[in-house]
Amino acid sequence: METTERNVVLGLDNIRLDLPVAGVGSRVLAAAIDSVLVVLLVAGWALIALLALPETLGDWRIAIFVLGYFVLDQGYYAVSEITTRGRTVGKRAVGLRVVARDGGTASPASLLLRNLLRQVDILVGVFLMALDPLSRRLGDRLGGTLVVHEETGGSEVTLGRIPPGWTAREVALAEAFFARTEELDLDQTLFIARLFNRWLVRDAPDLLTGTEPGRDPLGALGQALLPHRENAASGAAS
Amino acid sequence: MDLARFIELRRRLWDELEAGLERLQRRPKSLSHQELEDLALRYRQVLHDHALAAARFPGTGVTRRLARLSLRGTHALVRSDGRQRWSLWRFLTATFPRAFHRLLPALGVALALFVGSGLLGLFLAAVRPGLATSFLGSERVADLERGRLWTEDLTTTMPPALASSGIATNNLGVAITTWMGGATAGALTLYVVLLNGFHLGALMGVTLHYSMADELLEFVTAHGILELSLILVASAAGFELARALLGTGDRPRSVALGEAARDSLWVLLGCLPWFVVLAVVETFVSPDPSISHGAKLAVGMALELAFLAFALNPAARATATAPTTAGGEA
Repeated sequence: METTERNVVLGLDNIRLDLPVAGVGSRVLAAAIDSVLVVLLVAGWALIALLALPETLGDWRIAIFVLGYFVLDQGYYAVSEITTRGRTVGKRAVGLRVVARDGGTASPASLLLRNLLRQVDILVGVFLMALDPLSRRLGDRLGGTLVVHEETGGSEVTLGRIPPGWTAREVALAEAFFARTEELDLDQTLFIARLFNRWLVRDAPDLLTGTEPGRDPLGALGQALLPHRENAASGAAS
Repeated sequence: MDLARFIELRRRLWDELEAGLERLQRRPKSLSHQELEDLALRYRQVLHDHALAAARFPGTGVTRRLARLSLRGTHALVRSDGRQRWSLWRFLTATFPRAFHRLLPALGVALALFVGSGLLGLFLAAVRPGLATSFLGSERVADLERGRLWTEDLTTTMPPALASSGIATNNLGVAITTWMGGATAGALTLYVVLLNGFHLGALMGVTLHYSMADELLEFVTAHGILELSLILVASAAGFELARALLGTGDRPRSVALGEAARDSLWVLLGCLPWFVVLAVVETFVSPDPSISHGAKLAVGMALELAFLAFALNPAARATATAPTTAGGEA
């Protein structure tokens, strides 16, 4: 969650929302996937038009293919974004979605606008995205949209119990420690866990009841502070 | 309030919003009106909790969870355009005509540029026929010298099905490109208008020179009147887009840009279906020698009048000054 570039917009009641705005690289990758898909769809459409449509239609089969090709070429992005609330197949694969400028769901008109301008953006879009702090291409500016990373979340560590008197600083420190235990070597981990346990003995000795901070400092700390699920995982790791 | 107390007091609300959003995502129609109202209320409460947590407890997991919940709720529940259900009838009778009315000044500019460049092409063709014929190419000029228009190829060298689909997609592409050209500060739109005007003027001049103007007019009257009108309307929409990009007056750029872009989009969308009709006319009516010139003129005028009746709907004129909102609602 912290790995994406974030930018602030004002949401409802002028409350700041940190939107994880997608950069040029991930957007180009999503567009490349979608482009491949459009080619495959056109090829499939060609097969349908030439093989599945009755021969009695004669030249009209080609006419139907030409019209279908035009619709696929011009309409794929707009239709898929409108029907999936801002997620084409490529965007879904890369974990992106189109949202309105305030973070809400973009309207069909906005999605249509941004996609009808795609051909101009093929020429100038990357340049504009690189210059804009919100990575907007021309279509985004006119449609009032942004492309953001999907918020997957849910994997960050949050404390289940907070010792009395601990401020946000101590809580954030403890959460950061639990989140990084797998990256630290064992000696470092145990050293830091003992430090936290000393704070706990000072601030909330009740939380350490039934634990053995001397023998298993990390397990004791996890049992004291983490909700059951993370506690079990931490105990297993230690 | 310390963090522990804050979490103790508010965690239930956050859990309820999370569960509600999950349900909304999985089975949106399973929520009653009251449940949706409750969800919206919880969303606003969580937004305020998020603002408080971001200020008082930065960097904590709770703040990150609230940020994520706020974003998720915003995406699921906020629609800045107050979207109503899309209605084709409303689009045809209100949204398009209102946007068209607001586009009339830009349409005047497009028409003036087109006529001006057309007269220039006609003048050049009259005084320097050799220069004007270079626009046509040697084969077409050779056809003219034999007393034959190149437009006859539409029926003699290409099956009607292919000709009509090709014409339709080409004209649709030209209209979209002309509109989209507004995003290049109007340069591409201007180019399309001037080129088309000059080209048509030069063609008229050359065919006049070879005494074939009547035949050309006979060919273009059935489809050309409306086709030119639609290209000019698409050009006007492009100019409107350019105007919004370059000058927003005293309003915030994002607001002015959004309104102008939507208006121009509605106008473009209202024009596109007509190109399909015109492609059929251009393939089956325009080149057909068995249909009289008068009948072709009647078809051309009828199409033009039908479009104008649709675009200049008097019911929509009264409210034309109000901006259209997204989603087709005016």
